[in-house]
Amino acid sequence: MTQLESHPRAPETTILMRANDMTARARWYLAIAGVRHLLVGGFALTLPVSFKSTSFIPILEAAPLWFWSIFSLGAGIACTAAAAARSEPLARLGMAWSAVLTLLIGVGLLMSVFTGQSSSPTGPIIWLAVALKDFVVCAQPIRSPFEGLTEQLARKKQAST
Amino acid sequence: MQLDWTGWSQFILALVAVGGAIGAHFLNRRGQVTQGMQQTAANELATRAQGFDEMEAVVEWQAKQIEKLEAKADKDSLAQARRCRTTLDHFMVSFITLIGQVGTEEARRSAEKALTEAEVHLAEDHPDTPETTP
Repeated sequence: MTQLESHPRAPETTILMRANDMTARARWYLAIAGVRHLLVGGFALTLPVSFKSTSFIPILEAAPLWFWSIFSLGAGIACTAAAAARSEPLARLGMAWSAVLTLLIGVGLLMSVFTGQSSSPTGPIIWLAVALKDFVVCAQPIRSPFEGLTEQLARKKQAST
Repeated sequence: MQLDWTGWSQFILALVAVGGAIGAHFLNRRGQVTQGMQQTAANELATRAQGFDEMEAVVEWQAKQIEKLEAKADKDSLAQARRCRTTLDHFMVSFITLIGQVGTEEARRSAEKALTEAEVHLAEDHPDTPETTP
């Protein structure tokens, strides 16, 4: 008599996406934002003479340069650490920190335009645009399960061909 | 137009900081909600995709079993036909022997008729089965 094979058991239903996947886009954005803040904070701390422009007067009237430097270094550390560790809470903290700091610098530079202390209006334009970008990124998912799924399906397809 | 905001910058920037922090917090929450929705949708899609894989495995397994059963059925039929043929060959030999031995004409005719029937059966029902020598 023919021995029929037993029915293959269905594999356990597992979720194909790792929950902690962070998109490459988010990691790059965080890394770039982190480097931006580390550089600005580093220059403010080590080369305060670089900030002698009159455009900075409203900002420096509000708080001393060392405060801005530490504020900036903190944002930079949070963003780069989040990109390196793929940590979502740290990324959200870093992005919020970066957005607020960039907005403050942008508004400070904008104030200098109205007080006639600005050397160029491009400063506030660029800083405020970057601040808006940071806010936009805050409102986006930091990790996308679909990217993980797409990568897995692409790998499966490559393996089958 | 030039404004004298000396002394106000601290206040204005503090307000901007508070507003910015609240806005960033609100937007972060919104991002998390969107992310959660995407995760739920992706999990559902992944579960469905696994369901399709499972169905494919079951269909493949069934096709294999059907092939096995068909092969077995063919083999059984062939063996049965061979057995039938052998038996009929034995009968034919017995009939031929009997025809030579029977005393009455009627018995001989009956035996010859039976032999003809057996030959017809062999020709019609077992045309492809190999000849077996009794």
